Amino acid sequence: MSIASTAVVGISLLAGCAAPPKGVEQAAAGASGNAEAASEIKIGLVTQLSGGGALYGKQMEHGAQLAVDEINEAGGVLGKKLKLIAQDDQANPSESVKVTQRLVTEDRIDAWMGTLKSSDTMTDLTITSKQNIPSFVPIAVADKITELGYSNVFRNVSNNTMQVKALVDYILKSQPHKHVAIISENTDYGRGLSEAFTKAFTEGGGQVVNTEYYNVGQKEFSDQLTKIKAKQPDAIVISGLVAEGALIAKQAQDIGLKTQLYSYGGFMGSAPIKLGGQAVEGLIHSEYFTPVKGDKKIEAFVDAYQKKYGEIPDSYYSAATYDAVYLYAEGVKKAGSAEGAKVNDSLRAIKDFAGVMGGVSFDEKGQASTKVWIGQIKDGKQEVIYRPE
Amino acid sequence: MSELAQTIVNGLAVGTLYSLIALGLTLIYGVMNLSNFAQGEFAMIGGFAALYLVNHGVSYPVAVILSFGVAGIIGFIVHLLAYHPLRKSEHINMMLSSLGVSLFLVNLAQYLFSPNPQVVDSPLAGRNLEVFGIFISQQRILIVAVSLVLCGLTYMLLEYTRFGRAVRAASLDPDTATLYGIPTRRISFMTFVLGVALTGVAGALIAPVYNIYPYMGVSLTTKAFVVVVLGGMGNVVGAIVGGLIVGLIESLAGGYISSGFQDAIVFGVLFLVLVFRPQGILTKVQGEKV
Repeated sequence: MSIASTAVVGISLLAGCAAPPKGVEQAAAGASGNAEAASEIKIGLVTQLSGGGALYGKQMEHGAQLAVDEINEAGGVLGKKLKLIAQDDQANPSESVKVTQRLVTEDRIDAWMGTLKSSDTMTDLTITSKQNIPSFVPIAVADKITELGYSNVFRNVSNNTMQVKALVDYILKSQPHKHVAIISENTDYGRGLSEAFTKAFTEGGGQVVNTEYYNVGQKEFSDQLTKIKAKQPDAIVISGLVAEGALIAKQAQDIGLKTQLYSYGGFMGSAPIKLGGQAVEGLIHSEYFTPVKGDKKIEAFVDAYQKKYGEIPDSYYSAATYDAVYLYAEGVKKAGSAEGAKVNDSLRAIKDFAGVMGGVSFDEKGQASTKVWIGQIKDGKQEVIYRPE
Repeated sequence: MSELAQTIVNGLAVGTLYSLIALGLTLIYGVMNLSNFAQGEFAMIGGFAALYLVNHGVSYPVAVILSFGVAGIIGFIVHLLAYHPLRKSEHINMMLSSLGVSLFLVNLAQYLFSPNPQVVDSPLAGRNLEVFGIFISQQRILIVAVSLVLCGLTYMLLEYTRFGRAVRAASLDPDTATLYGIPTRRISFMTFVLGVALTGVAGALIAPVYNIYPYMGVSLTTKAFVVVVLGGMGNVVGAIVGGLIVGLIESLAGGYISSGFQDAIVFGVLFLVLVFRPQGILTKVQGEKV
C-alpha cells in the first residue's frame, strides 16, 4: 500500500461524509421551509472524527447516518424527520464536553450518542443527564457507565463483565483448555478484565496458572512469555488491545510457545490480521458484531452500508450506532412524543427489540441484555464460531 | 534452567539493540555536548524509511542499508536547521531544540504515515531457531549480528583512523583541538550524522519485530539515556557494554521479580547510578570521553 493510495482513500472518505446524500438534503430543506424546529428530531453524535481514532468515529457516523436516512425514507417518526448532527471530540475529554454542551444548548438536540472512550462518555453524560436527554452509549464498554445512577442512559452493547463471562463460558463449555495464563495490560482496563476472568474461570473449575503484566506502548514481551512458557499453560488470554496483542502473538511464536490464544473485543475487525499475520491465526475472541451471512437483518444492513459507503462494516462501530438510532426511533414512536422524560420511560419498557447486533431489552439501569458472540481468526479472516440464540 | 537461559538470551538480544541506539547518542554527546532527546525519533525515521522502501518493492536487507543513508540525510538537515545555528549559545538551548525536533518529527510522521502501527515485512519474520531448548527468532539474530558489527566498526573507526583521532580530540578538548588544526565544527557535524545514521539502522532492524508507529521513539530515547548514563556520558565502550547490562537487568527483572515493575526496576537502577556513581559505572577517569 502506497502513501498516495492511502491519501486518496482518506480524501474520498472525507468527501463521502462531507456531502450528505441528495435525497436527505432535499427532504430536510423541504421540511424546514414550513415549520422549522418542530418538524425535526435532532440526534447529536459525539465521536472522534479527526486524528488517530477517526477511522472508528467515521464508522460510528456512517452507521447512524444510514439508519437516519432509512427511517426518513420510510416517512420519519411521528411525521417528523430525523436529523443527525455529528461533532468531532478529537478523543479529548475537554473537547468532548465542549461539543456536547454546544449540542445541548445551541442545537437543542433531542437525543445524544457517543463516544469512543468510556471516560469521555462518563463526563459527557453529566451534561445530558441534567436535561434528561435520552443518551445512547453504543461503543464504550466500561461497567461503570450504567452504574452512575442516571435514568437517561442506554447502552446497547455488552459491558466488560458480560464480555468476560461470555468468553469464560465458551472456553469451559466448548474448549479443552483448563490451565490458562493471562498476559494483561497494566491499566484499569486490562486489570479489570483479568480479575473478572480469573474469578469466573476459577469458579467454573478452571485454573489460571499465572498472570503477567505489560505497559501500554511496550514492544518487548519475551520475558513475560518466557515466564508463561515455563508454567506450560494450555492457553494464553491476552487482556489488552491489538497494538500490543499482535506483537504478543508474534513473540510467543518466536520463543516456540504454541498454545491457543484468547482475547477480547480489541481483536475484532481486520486490524489484528494486518498487524499479527500468521501469528494470530486461530485466536479466539469475544465479539459484538461481524457481517455474517445467513441473517436477513445483518445482510440487509451490510448491503445498504456497502451501497452507500463502498465498504463492508467489519466491526461493531457502525452496527451499534445503526441499532441505537433505530432504538431511539422506536422509543419516540412508543412514547408518542420526542420529549426526553417520556422517551426514557418508553425505552426502558422496550422488550426484545430486533437489532442487527441481536435482541435488545434494557434493564432499569439502561444496560441492554445483548449477547456476546465468539469469533475466531481463520485463514486470515474473521469468523463467528459461536452466536447465542 | 532453560527458563533462565532463555531469559538471558532475551536480555542480550534486546541489549545489543540498546547498545546500537546508545552508541549514536553517546557519540553525539561526546562531540557536541548535546543530550539529544530526539535520538529515538531517528530510529523511528529509520523504521519508516524501511517501511516505505519495502512497500515500494525494495527487498528488506537493501532497505536496512538504505535506512542508514536516509536517517543520515535527515540528520544532516536537522543539524543544519536546528542545532548548527545554536552552536555558540549555551548547551541547554541545543537540548531544548532537540525536544522540539522530537515533537516535530513525531507529528510529521503522523501526518505522512498515520498514527496507526504498521508492519514491515522481513523474509525472516515468523522463523526461529532452537538450540538446546532455547528459542530465538531469526530476525533477532540479524539484529544482534548487525548491531555487534556496527558497534565494532564504530569502535575501530574511532580508535584506529585519522577521523577517529580527530573525533576523540574534539571531544576531549575542542579548543586545544582547534589550535592543533582539527576542524572541530566539521568533525561535530560528521559525528552527528554518523550517530543519527546508526540509530536509523536500529529502527529499520526492529521494525519487523516491534511494528512501527510515530510514537515508537519515545521509549527508545529513555532506554538509550539509561544506557548512556550507566556507561558514562560520551563513553563508547560504556554505551556498548551498558546496553547489554540494561537488556539483562530488564529481562531478569521481568522474568524473576515482577513484569509489572520491569520498567520501574530499570529506571530505579538509573537512579542509583546517578546517586552513587554519576560518572557511570564503566568510566575510570572523568573526561575520558569518546
